[in-house]
Amino acid sequence: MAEVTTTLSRPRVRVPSWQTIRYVLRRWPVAPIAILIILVIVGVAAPLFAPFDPLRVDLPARNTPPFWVPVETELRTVKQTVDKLSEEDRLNISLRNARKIKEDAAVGDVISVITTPAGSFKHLFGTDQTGRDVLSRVIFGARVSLMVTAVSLTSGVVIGVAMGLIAGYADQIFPKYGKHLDEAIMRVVEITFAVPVILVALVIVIVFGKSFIVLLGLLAFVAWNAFPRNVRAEVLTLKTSDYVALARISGASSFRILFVHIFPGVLNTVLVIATLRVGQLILIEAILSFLGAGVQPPKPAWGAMVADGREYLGSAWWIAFFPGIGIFLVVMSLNFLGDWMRDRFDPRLRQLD
Amino acid sequence: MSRFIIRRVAYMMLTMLVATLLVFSLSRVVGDPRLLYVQEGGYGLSPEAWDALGVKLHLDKPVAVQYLYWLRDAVQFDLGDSMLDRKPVSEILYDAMGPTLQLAFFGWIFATGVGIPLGVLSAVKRGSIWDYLGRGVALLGQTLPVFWVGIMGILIFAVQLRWLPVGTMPDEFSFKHFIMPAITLGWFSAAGYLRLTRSAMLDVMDSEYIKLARAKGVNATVVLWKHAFRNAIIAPLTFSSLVLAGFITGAIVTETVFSWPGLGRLAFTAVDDNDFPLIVGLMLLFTFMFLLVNLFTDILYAYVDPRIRFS
Repeated sequence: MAEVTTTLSRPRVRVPSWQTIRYVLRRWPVAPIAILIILVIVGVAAPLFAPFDPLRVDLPARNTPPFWVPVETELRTVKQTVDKLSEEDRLNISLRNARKIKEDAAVGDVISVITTPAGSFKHLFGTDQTGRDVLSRVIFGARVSLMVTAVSLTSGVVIGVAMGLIAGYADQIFPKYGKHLDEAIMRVVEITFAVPVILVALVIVIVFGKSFIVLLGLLAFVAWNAFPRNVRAEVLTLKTSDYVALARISGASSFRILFVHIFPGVLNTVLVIATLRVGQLILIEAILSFLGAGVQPPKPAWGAMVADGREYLGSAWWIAFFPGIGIFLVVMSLNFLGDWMRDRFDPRLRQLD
Repeated sequence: MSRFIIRRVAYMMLTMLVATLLVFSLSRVVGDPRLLYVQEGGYGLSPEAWDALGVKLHLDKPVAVQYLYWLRDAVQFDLGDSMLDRKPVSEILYDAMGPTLQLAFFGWIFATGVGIPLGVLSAVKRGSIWDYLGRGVALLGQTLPVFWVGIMGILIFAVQLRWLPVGTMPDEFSFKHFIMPAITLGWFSAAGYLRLTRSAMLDVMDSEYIKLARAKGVNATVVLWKHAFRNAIIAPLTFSSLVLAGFITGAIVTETVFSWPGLGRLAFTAVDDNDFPLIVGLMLLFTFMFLLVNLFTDILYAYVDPRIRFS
């Protein structure tokens, strides 16, 4: 007894060794989780983190590069007039414009022209073509992405899991036509896989107009069909298990069995599929916004920002660059996390990909 | 085998029918379908055209009858006129098909040419630099947004380095113009092929008959290419839906980024102009192509692997 107290009273201070840290990093998806947590915090509290209003236009500061870019100058020969379209004149400057920079410029002089101003710490990621702060827009874009995926995934999960439960358990609730209901649901799911999602989305956008609600509904529609097949399969095995039979013997109703005894058993599968699906949802949202069919301007969305930046690639690459990095980091983190959860919680799903 | 084919064809036709039903009901949920032609961003209709359209769509008859009329027209490639340039939709689609198919061909060449060899390499030399390279290519291909890859490609190789043209397809064939769009389009699918090939190769290399072949002293190259590869290749080659779904989404995005005069870019302009007849035509065409390729690969799969035929 005394020995036990002595060991307890002497707290062991353990400094994690390098091996332990490496082990933890390998075993747990630390980086993906960290990225996602940061994203969620930043997205939820976007106004706190964003240095500027994402919609604030500041024309004099337009096309400011990110903070590390030094000022860029080019030597240009002054000419009377220049033809911007011709290849050789591209590097020349007209007398009129030269006079704005250097008052005593004359034809034939070589003057140095600032092509890109230096970046500043005021706008860490630079500004876009109307002087809006790119970092603030990326942060608010995270918020939009987060909201869109949260809402559409939740509705997708609810619909999809409900369909899976009904399909798998229909013959218990409706002994007469349960089989047909099951068959019908699974056929519908199969057909939704055979129709190209993005085109259905575009048709719906044209019919119902480009609005936020339509986008949410669309993405919910994209999200739901991943669930029924696997949930149904899970229900079919759970349904024949002993504990369900015992519950029935002790007089539990079909609904009670379904919700109290079977439903908790499918949660692992649902969690894994949902995580793997979120990345796809974010990508599809980004693609729709890129095509102008998703989140509508001026609301900042990553996909739409890349589309904006496309026109200014030659002069301001950062407009398109940073939102793309945002999408990439999120989708990659979700993929890693999803793979890890699948291996850990539901290894049978491995056959899926 | 013929029973299998008949069943697949019937299933394909059923799916196609559901797709038409879906599109048709979408056009009727707004009430008068002609409203879709006059919405904001569209080009509107004159009163005469409004009446003429009513006659053409048989709006005086019950909805079910309207659907049958519409279906009959659609089967005969009469999908109405595009709203923007008032040309028949089928004509526009026909003209845009060539560039898309050419791009898809090169994209597919890239996807298989990179995905399958790199998949084999990363499975055989597991843990080596090739494995990391392969897994990196696969990871980036599946997580980088396609449009961003295209735009960054333009930024680096066209704007900065000036090695490749910015985009669009010239009238005369030029391989240079295909390089970036094909890689942009094919990368996502390359990643899919790579992962499938890698896991199939790992599975096969672990099997008993490969061990036997090795144990009896068969040359390593022969084991790899004759015994292992030929079995591992079945899964990736017949796994069409992932690749094809990626191609359809990819074509829309890639063609938009590179101003490619194909079907994908049409989809973008149709959304931009609220061109309902055009987007309907595109959706039906893409669905049809999707189902056709799926049918083809199903049959191929059943031909290669008899177990499928009888399930």
